Amino acid sequence: MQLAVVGLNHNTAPVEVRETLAVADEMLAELYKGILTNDRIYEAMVISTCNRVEYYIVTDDFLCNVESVLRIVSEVCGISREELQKYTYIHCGSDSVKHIFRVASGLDSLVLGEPQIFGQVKDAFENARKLNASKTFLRKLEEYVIKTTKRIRTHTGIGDNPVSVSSAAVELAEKIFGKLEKKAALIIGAGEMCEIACKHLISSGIGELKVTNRTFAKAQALAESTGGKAVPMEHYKDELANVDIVLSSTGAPCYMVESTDIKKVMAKRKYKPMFLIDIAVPRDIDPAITDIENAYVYDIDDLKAVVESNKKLRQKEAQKAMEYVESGLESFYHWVESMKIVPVIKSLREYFDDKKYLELNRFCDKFKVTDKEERRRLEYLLSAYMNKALHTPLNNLKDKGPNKGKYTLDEALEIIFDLKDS
Amino acid sequence: MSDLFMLLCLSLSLTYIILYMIFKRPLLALFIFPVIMALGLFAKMMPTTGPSDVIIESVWLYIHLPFTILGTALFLFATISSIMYFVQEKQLKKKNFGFIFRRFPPLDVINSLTTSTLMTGFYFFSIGVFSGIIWMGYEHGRMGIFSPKMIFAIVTWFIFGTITYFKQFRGMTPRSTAYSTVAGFVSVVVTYIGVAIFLMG
Repeated sequence: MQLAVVGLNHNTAPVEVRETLAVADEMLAELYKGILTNDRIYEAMVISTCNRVEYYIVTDDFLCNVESVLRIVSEVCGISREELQKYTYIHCGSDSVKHIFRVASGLDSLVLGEPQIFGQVKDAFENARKLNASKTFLRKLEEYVIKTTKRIRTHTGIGDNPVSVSSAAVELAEKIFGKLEKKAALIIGAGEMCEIACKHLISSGIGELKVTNRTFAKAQALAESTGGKAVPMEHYKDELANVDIVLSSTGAPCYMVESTDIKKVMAKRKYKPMFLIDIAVPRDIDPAITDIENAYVYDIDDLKAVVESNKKLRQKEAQKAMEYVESGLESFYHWVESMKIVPVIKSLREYFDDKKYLELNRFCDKFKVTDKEERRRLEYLLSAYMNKALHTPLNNLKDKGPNKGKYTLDEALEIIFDLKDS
Repeated sequence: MSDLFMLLCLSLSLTYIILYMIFKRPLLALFIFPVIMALGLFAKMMPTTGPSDVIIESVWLYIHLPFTILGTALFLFATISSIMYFVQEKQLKKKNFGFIFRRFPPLDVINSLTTSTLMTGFYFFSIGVFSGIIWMGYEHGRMGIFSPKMIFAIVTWFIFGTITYFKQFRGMTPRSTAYSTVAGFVSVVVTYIGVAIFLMG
């Protein structure tokens, strides 16, 4: 049994193809049923996000079964086989396991190291479980995917440095103020950029949020959706003394925040630091404010520079993450190998069980044991002895079985029964 | 004299532990332990004169010494965090987000570290200086009070007193706080040199 994956992502397929192939949750049951009708495909799982659609199958004949997966997908999604082949990549065996480790930890994402994909992969595994499409192999794989991804997130900085403009701005704010719980922010404008920034500020636990906009209704709508407070445009300058963070993104042709405004409020603020973020073009915040002590102004270019340097840092961390992928792969395949020995262990147990009952019956016949209680005790004794005696060799078989070393018979026995130590 | 420096080493280590518990900033150790090492070595090289050789022991000595030393230790931390403030502020203004920027604490944390060490240090130091004046008055009369080291101690106390007053009641920019803290600490060092000369003879 091995894993194979047929998939497409943002690198291999344009968005119109990806949306054609995207699998809605309600389609999943039918799709799994279709794939699993092929009796050489034992397990299946589908990951479908806006940037990728991937079909994972557990099979023993991957070449012909990938063909059948492609056929089923092309039928279900109404796209020709040739067209489909143009956009897909196919991995098999350990390459496909490595691929899912990379996908889950965000190493294959459009934004390197983004955390959302991990949740989406976990959901995909869960759906496959619910619909009975995943069994032993995929369930174990799920365990290893979660373990490896968590290790990567904990031990590397893959998700540490924000790579979007607004999250970089919030990170800078945290570098000035530390925790944002007791801080207030004023958002000037109510466009998409402001909305995203609001979300980032809220998730960083900002204490108070105020929104102002030329169209007051828009400010109110944004304030309502984020739990902030709307401020009329004519009064926003009065708020400058009470806020620590100002973020502006409007289409105004002149400065919304002048250097003189900040000079005026600094004494009132007892010279506490003030952080001004300008993501508008033309700029909204007077760059001369930089010369005022304890006021820090960053425009869109500064933030982009931060994002660029963070991307480089993430790429460095991605190399570190690959080491964890490799070690996860190794331990997963150790398990796969140990599974091969399971049938042997099973037959060995059955063999001993048969012998146990054979001897028990002979003993009872020979010594005229008719009392049921006595027979039960004898059986208990034999079972206890057998379990004790077999415990070590069976465990050793499971652990040392996957070792690819070739042993002579006597070496193998020494290993299985721990004879060297005794 | 070496005892005095050893005591200072001890107070610095103790203060670091307390500050670490409050602020959780191990980076301070990077700055403070070289100072502790240098003071320890310095103390080793000093001639050991017991306080009883020069100084007549009195109850005031036991108030003066620990409070002054603890105050000094706290001032040293305030100075270190002031230097950290300069560095981090420069990075922020220059938009230079490199190695140092990533590892230093947030600006506000540095600022509150400066403020709290300054305030606490000032209260300790006040008790230390005034018990010192009383004690010197008892021992040496007016001559003792107007010795150069006493004058420097009072100047130091005034510098830190002014910073504390402004910070509490007038509002003071972090940068000015940092500058005056460094200036105050220079005056602390001068006072200690005065003490050393006085004790040595």
